[in-house]
Amino acid sequence: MDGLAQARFQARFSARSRTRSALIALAAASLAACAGPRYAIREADREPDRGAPAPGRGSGLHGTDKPYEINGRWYYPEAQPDYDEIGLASWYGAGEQSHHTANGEIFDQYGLTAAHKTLPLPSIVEVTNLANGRRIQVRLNDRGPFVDGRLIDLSLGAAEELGFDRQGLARVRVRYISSAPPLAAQGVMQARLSPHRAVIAAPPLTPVLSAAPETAMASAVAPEPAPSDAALPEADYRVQVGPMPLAPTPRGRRRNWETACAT
Amino acid sequence: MIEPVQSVGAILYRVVLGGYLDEDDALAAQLRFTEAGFAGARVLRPF
Repeated sequence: MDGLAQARFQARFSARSRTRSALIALAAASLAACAGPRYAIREADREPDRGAPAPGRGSGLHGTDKPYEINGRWYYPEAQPDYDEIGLASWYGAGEQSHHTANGEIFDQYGLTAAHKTLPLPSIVEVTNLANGRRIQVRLNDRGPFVDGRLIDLSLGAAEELGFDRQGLARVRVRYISSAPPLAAQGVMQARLSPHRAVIAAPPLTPVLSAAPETAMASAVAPEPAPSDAALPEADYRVQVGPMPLAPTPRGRRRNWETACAT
Repeated sequence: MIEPVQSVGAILYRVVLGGYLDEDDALAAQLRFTEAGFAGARVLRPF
């Protein structure tokens, strides 16, 4: 990280840590109240503290590849092609919307992105919510989370796809997939840059109804087969409606829906 | 895809439509859904 980027990153982290301190305290109180092992962190999940970098370490490294220090702890980004860890995930959203991420991209809370302490940026990782089996691939473009025992910090959009945005925390498996291409234009999400984009498999706990919106929406069918990368359509932009408290089957809603689709 | 989403004591539904060629196309669809009364419609961007 050069000086400017380091300063910006530190400043952003400071701002984030201030806004989060109350939330963290609240979360800590809530977790303490649980008094159970549900959120216990294995020692193996903790980031090893190797102290300050040795003189000369990091020479030849650039930007987010360099060792960095947060709250007195040093972190050492490095390629970890076999990275496959289980730990606790959290998510971040509105407070960071449109801010710069650690590697200079513009954060989109609805994108499928994440922050990790040591994996290279940008890269693609696969994240599986162990509570419901949902699995997505996200783009790592930020550093964090700087909370003991926390493995990865996902965007709101990613947390929604994994189905834990309402809980706040989830136990996940994180697996490194590949490095990611740089964005064609800063802050602009380009279509078809990468096949790694969406839900690749979501074995649902509840049945998934698969139907075109203009067809009957209430008939339950077999769970939708998990799409593979090869099966992804060329057009990558999607539109989400909801979550809604009611199935879009009541006549009025359905009529609105069909009208919207038809125009 | 219509996806039931578990919530506390209720089931919410989320509908995801794909097939939009670019952001303008998707934003136009989002606007149509919003005008049709689906206030939570939003574009999911690829990366």
